[in-house]
Amino acid sequence: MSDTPMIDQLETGPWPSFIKDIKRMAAKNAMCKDLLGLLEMSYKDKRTHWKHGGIVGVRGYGGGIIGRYSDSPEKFPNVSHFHTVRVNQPSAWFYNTGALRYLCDLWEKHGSGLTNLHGSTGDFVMLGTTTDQLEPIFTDLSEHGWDLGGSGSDVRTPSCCNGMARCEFACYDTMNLCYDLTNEYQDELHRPAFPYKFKFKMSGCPNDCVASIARSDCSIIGTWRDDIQQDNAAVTEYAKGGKVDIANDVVAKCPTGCMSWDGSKLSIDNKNCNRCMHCINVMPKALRPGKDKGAMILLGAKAPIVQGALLSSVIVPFIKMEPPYEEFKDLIRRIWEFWDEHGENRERIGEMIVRIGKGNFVEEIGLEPLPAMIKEPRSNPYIFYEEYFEEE
Amino acid sequence: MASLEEIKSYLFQKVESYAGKKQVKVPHLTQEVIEHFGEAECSKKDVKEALKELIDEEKLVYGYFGGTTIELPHVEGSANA
Ligand code: HEM
Ligand code: HEM
Ligand code: SF4
Ligand code: SF4
Repeated sequence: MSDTPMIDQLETGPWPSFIKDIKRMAAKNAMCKDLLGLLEMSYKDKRTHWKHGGIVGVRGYGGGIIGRYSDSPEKFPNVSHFHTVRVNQPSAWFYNTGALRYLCDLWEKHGSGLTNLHGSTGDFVMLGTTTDQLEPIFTDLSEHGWDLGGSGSDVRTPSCCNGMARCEFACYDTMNLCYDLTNEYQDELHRPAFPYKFKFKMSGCPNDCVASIARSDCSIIGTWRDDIQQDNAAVTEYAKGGKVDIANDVVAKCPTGCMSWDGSKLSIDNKNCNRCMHCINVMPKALRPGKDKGAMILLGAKAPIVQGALLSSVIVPFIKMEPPYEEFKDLIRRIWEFWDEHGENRERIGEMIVRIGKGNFVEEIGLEPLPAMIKEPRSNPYIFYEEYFEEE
Repeated sequence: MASLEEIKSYLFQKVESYAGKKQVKVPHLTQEVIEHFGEAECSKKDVKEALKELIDEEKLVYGYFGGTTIELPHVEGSANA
């Protein structure tokens, strides 16, 4: 009988299995062998055998390494330490095969060989090494042009969609902004000094492929402020082709009801369009974002840890996003100063805004209140629109 | 103005006084140091610089306990391998 009957069951489904992967590595790596044993023990005892926290980091850095120690070093000596190393990924996760080979080889030499691509922060995640290996790993990475990512109460590794590298919808250069912010905030990334973590995520358009609105304290989402570009000949092509039912698939699904279609002509009331991208996604050859492009800035998303989950909400409806991004960086400085001063221990920026009220927050960081900042527009039953009166 | 050495020395003393008793974090420490010297004598930036030097000299280290903490260098109790 196998030593690990419980976790063996995780190999039986039709889907890929991390147990299979760990077993394959266990043939040549002693850490992986003990990892299986420790994991089996956790399944049996119905509790984790990892201890959280403790000293982390390499010399001078307070982030990038997540310390893990097991509570059973006598039974499983090869995983008594099992630290995670976060490596700052390239903007939009573009690697060549040489880079991937280098990272994997490094990890087989200094760690368990197990990786996780990519962590939800965005980093290239290397799982499982010992304290004495941390400095050699860091030195090797640095010599090859890599750096550690964030962890703890710091700026986490910024991440972005592939934007202008391959997507026609991109309204600003996400990859350039991501690279720029990563360099600008080196100190904040490596020397944690905030009340808690702070994440930047960048999407080139409201499709928000990196889910920044749900996963970052500061979401930077591409948008435009003029009219959707419309090619009427291409609209006709879609209509004739029969693959798109413009009335039902496009117009009826516009969330603001700002489109109309009379069977031959598509009209958009752009003032009422909220840039949701739906119509553009359905008819990309006929419709595209406007020409006056930039980004909106949202604050406050987080997963449930101390308090419940939040989505980001708008604080700047439109800002031009061009290097050197001074207006944006100035805003961030004011936001951090305020958070630093008034944020409670382990309080994310979104939680602080809820606590003190968005109106107060906006005033404190020196912005004018705008209707676009309202978190749930058109949902307040106590507002009466003129059109309702007209019906009576 | 308090000198960098004075700030470093007080900051170190504070962390030492918490060792084994309380997990202390950067915003809290910063506040305490500024309160000690007075805002006219010591700014947030000065504390940041002092902490940076103490970390680079390895007199203090970063730790993690529900967020980043500042600690005296030590061997983890659980690192007995
Ligand atoms: C165990 C085997 C496979 C797994 C686990 C797998 C998994 C996936 C996943 C996760 C996606 C992304 C879906 C998404 O973006 O939402 C995908 C997309 C895709 N896969 Fe597979 N795949 C497998 C086998 C195959 C095979 C054998 C083929 C072709 C012969 C194939 C062709 C594709 C194509 C064309 C797409 C892109 C679909 C799209 O963009 O809409 N896959 N697959
Ligand atoms: C020299 C040969 C090839 C080149 C230069 C090439 C290039 C590309 C490029 C640039 C993309 C878009 C990648 C992306 O969106 O991330 C792509 C996607 C794709 N290629 Fe190829 N390709 C080649 C051969 C093949 C072959 C032989 C197959 C299948 C047998 C294939 C299947 C696909 C599929 C299914 C996708 C879509 C994947 C997705 O939905 O994410 N390609 N290819
Ligand atoms: S978020 Fe928009 S710009 Fe970025 S990859 Fe997705 S669709 Fe393209
Ligand atoms: S982008 Fe969205 S809101 Fe704007 S017209 Fe298209 S479907 Fe309507």
